[in-house]
Amino acid sequence: MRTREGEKSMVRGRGAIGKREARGRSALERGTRRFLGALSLVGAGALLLAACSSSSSSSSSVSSAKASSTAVPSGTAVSASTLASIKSTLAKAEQVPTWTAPGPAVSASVLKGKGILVMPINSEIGACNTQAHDFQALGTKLGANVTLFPTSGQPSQWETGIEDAVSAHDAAIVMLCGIIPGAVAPQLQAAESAGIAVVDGNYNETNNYQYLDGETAVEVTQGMQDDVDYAIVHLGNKPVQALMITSNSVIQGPAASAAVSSQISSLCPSRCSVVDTLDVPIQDWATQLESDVDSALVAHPNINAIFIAFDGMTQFVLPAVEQAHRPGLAIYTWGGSRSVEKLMTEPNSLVASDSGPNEDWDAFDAMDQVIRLLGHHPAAPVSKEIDPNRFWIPSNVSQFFGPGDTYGNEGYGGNTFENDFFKLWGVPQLASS
Amino acid sequence: MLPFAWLLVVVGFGADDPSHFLTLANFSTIFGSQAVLFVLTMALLVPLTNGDIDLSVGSLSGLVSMLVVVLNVEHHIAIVWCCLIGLAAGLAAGVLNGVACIRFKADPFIITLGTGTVFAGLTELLSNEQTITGVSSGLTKVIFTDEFLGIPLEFYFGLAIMLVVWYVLTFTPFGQRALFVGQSRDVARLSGFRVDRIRLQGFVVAGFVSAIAGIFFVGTTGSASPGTGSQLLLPAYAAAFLGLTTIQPGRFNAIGSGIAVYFLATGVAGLELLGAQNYVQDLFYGAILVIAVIISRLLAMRRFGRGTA
Repeated sequence: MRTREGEKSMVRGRGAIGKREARGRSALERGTRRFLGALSLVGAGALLLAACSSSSSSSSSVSSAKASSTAVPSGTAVSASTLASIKSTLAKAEQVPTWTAPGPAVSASVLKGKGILVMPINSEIGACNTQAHDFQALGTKLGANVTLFPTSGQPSQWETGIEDAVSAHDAAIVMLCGIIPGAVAPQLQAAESAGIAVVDGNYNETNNYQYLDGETAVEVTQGMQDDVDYAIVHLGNKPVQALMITSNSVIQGPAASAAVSSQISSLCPSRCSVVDTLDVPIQDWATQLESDVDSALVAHPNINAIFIAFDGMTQFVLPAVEQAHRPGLAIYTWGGSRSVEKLMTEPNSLVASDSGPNEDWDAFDAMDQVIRLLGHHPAAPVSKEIDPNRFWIPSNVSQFFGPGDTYGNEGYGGNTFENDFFKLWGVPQLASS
Repeated sequence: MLPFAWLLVVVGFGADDPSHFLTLANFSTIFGSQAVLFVLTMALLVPLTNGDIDLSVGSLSGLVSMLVVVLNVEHHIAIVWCCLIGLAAGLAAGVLNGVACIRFKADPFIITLGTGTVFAGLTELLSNEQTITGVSSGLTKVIFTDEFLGIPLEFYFGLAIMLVVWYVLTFTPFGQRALFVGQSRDVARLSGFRVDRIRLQGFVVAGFVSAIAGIFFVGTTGSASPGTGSQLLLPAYAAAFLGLTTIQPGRFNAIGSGIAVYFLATGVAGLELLGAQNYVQDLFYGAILVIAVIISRLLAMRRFGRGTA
C-alpha cells in the first residue's frame, strides 16, 4: 500500500531521476553540439589545408613565359621549319633502335652457381614484372641461381628482399624500375658489408648513390620529349595545353615532368603550357587516378593533351578521358608496355603515342652490369648501359607484336640485341636466329 | 543532417569556384566515378545490420574483377559467362566467411581480415601480379560507355542496388530479422530467431554484392589490377558509418549510405578542384570516418537515454 509520504518520496525520486536524466540528455545534447562544432572545425581545417596545398600545387604547374617567335604564325604552336624538324626527329625515333656495346667484353662464366636476387619496384607494374621474369630466365640460362622477390611497391618489402639476399649470401642484388636507394639505405649498407654487388635498374635519371655498384638507364626524358613533339604534330600544330600525370614515388617521375616542361618551353614557350600536374603514388593509381583526372579536366577545359610518365597508369586515366568527350584529347605516354600498345591498335584509340624500351633488353643491361661486377671489372657507365626507346604510334604499333599478338622482341630488332650481348659475354652458343 | 551537410559542401565549393564546380560535367563525373564504391558500400550493410563486420569485401571485389578479366582475356570465355562465374565466386566467398565465423564462433573482424588477405593473394596468383587489360568491350559499353543524362549507366545500376537493399532492410521480414539480430543476438536467439542462419545470409549477400562491385570495376576500366579492391575498404566503411547519421539515424541504412558516398565524393571533388594534394583526401576520408563513428555512438547513447525514461 502506498502512503502519501511514500508517494511524495516516489515523486521526488522520479523527479530526481527525471532531473538526472534531463541533465544527462542535455549533457548529451551539449556533447552532440560540441562534436558537430568539431566537425565544422575539421571541415574548415580541411579547406584551409586544401587552400595551402593548392597554392603549393599551383606553384608546381609550369607555364612557359618566354616571348614567342615572330616566325610562328598565329594560332600555331611552332614554325613550319620547327615542325619539319620535329617530324624528322620522330621519324628516327620510330625506327628499330641499334645496340652498342656498353663496355669491353667480359665472361659470363662468373655467374655459374652464383645466387642473385632480383626485385622489381612493384610487381603489379607489368613492365617491371616482365623485366624481373626475363632477368630470372636469363640468369638461369647463364648458370646462376636467381630468386625473384615480388613486391607491391612497399619500401618494407624492398627492405625484406635485400635482407633475404644478405641472409642467403647472394652474390648480387638487382633492383628494377628505379627503387629509391635512400629508402633502403641501412639494408644496402648491410649488403655492401656482406660484399654483395648491388645494381639498380633504370636509376639513371639522378646522380650516383652511395651503396650502388652499378646502374642501368632508360630514356624517360627522351621519350617524354618525343611525346611532346608528337602531340604538336597530332594536334595539327595547335598549341599544346598539357595535363602532366606523374608519380614522384618512382625515381624517374620528376625527370618525366621536367622533360615535358622543358620541351614545351623550348619549342613553344609562349603559346603552349603545362596547365596542371598530378602526382599520384603507385599504390593509388587504381583508385585515385580517375577522379583526379576527372577533376583536372573539369577545372581546365582547355587541356588538349595528357602526358603520362608511366604507361602503367593509362588504363586508370582512360575512363576519365572517355567521359570528358573532348574531341582531339589524347594520351601520350612512356613505357612500351604491351597492354598499352594493344590499346593503341583499337579503332579511335585515345592513346596517341607510347615511347618505351624493351623489357628484355632492360634485363640484359642489368645482367651485363652484374657480370662486370662479379668478374671484378668496373661497372659500365650508366650512360652506356642504356635500354633505348622506340617511339610507338598507331601507324607502326603493329610491329610491336609477334605472331598471334604475342609479345617478344620483334619490335626491337628481334634477337639481334640478345645475340650481341651473348657474344660480348663469351657465350655465342646461346645466340639464336 | 547529412543531406544538409552535402548541400553545404556544394554551396561552399560552388561559391568558391562556380564556373567549374557548378557544372553538369563536374556532377556527371562525381556521380559516374563513384559507382564501384557506391556498390561496395551497399555490400557492407547487411552484415553490419546483423552486427557483423566484413573486412573482405574490398579484396573480394578485386578478386572477382581479376577472375572476370582473366577468363575473358586469357581464356576467351564470353563475358556474360565470366560475369556469372564471378558472381558465383562472390557467393562462395560469402559462404566461406559465414561458415568460418559462425561454425567456429570466431570473431568476424579477424576471420574476414584473414579471408580478405587470402582473396588478395589469390588475385595476385591469378594475374601473375600484373594488370591485365583488353576485356570485352560489351561489358565496358553497358557499364561505362553508355550514358543517360551524361552519367554512365553504372550509376543507375548502383542506384537500383541501393533501392533494393533499402527496401529489403526496411520492409521485409529478412531486414527486420537482421535488425533484431544486430540489436541483440542473445535476445533474438531466445525469441526463436535462427541467428546463425540470418548471419550467414548477411555474409552471402555481402559476397554477392561485392562481386557486382568487382564487375563494375572491370566495366569501368576495361582491366583489373591486383590490390585494387582493398583500397576501397576504408572509403566504403566511412560511407556506411556516415550513413548511420541520416535518414534512419542510428541504423545502417542504404539511402543514408548512398548519400554519404556522394557527400564524400563531392567533398573530394571540391578539394581536387581547389588543387588539394592526395594526402588531403586521405585526411578527409579518415577524419570523416572518425567523426561519423563518434556521432553514431552519441546517437546510440541518446537513444539508450530516451529508452530508460
